[in-house]
Amino acid sequence: MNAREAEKLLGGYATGTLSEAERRDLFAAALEDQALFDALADEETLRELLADPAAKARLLAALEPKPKAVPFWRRPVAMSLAASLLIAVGVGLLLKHGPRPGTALPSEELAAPIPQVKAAPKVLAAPLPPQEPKRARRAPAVEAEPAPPPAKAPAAPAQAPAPQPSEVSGAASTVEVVADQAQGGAPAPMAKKAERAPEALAYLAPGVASVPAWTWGADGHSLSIAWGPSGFLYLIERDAAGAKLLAPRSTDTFGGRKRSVYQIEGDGALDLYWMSEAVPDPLKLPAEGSITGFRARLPRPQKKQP
Amino acid sequence: MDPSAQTVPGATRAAVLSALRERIVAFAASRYARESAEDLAQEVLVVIHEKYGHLERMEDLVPLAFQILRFKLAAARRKAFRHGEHLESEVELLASTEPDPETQAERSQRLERLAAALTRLGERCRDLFRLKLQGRGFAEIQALMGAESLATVYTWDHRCRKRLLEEMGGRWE
Repeated sequence: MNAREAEKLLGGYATGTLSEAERRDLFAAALEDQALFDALADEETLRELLADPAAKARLLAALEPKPKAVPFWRRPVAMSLAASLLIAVGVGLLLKHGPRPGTALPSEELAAPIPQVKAAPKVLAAPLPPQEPKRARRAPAVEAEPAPPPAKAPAAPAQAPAPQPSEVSGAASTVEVVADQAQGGAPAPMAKKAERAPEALAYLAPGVASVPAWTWGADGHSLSIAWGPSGFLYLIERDAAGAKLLAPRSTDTFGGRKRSVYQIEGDGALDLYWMSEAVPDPLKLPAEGSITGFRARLPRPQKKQP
Repeated sequence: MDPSAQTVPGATRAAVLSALRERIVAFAASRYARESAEDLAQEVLVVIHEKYGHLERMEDLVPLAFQILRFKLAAARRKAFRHGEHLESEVELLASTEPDPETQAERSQRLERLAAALTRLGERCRDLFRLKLQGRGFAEIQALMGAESLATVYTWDHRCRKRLLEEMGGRWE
């Protein structure tokens, strides 16, 4: 792919839209072409901004399609009904007040104004049902495959060759799942109640079918999380000083899912959240209790003996 | 070793780093200061070598280099400002990515500018950007938007990106 063709992939870089092959083509072309490299380097600002889940949620809110207000004169059913009503009223008035043969109407009656037709009743003026948006925003549960048994979650995937083969796998299969009636209820066509485990490392709301999976790098600081393909991922570090929302070093699309890579420097507890809707203030997400999504306390890798 | 590494890992990595160095020098010279561009490129490669020596693939090295470069440029900009060197040459202000209040304020401002610019785009561009933010790939977007081919989506996205950049005043900063 030459630089001119690869340039058309620039828009997909910052949003993490590119497939592995597209990324490879873009980077290869950028290494050969200075102008493309400069443009790609400039995209880093936007990519970093969009890597923040809260920022992404803000932009999605700004981009939500608004239902189009259909003007009254463009509603054929309403117009035809209104016209029929007018005709019926007019005919009725003519029949009632029309001149009888051989008689003349008093001048007052002739001068009387035609009664004003009241505004059409609400049912006639009601707007047509808004068209359903072509692309409904789907929560992770709807897009997912049929839900596995709640007690078991898929093992940590090897979809994306992580920067380092993992020594510690945060496999979701090791997570005990606690199901509960989530407030507001995520779309849960296949919701099942799971048994409440005595100790839960993770919380899975009903209807959430495929959970994020994470792997630690050999250095014990690099954390790769596969999630999605939709929804919003938050990683919060909690320690004595408080809670901190961590931003990923990178987020890309791989094998139909998202992959976010974090560089973890602190020693605090790590809470991973995967939500179907954007959360305005992720730091308020609870460390315990029910949520409308997925939560996991990530175990730390065992430190190597010197 | 990364099982998906291409060809001979050592040779591939060396070639990528060599090309990166050349590109970073030219980029830094055009955006920062020509005399410091070599140093900046060297700093980036040192970080990659010391902290990310396990990375082999171009797909990992290139985006990583961009992130490190951005950090380095921001740090150099702050250092120059403290030393008064900003008076000697024009330097673009690069927001720091560290979570200090000034950076957060700049990021918040940038976000609002971007949100406002998005609302000024045409319907197709807004739909396209929304689908991208929702995590859709280009192939999926092609199906959802009824585009004739993937190349059509690339062209749409390219034009929408240019339009958005114009609305942002020519810069993402």
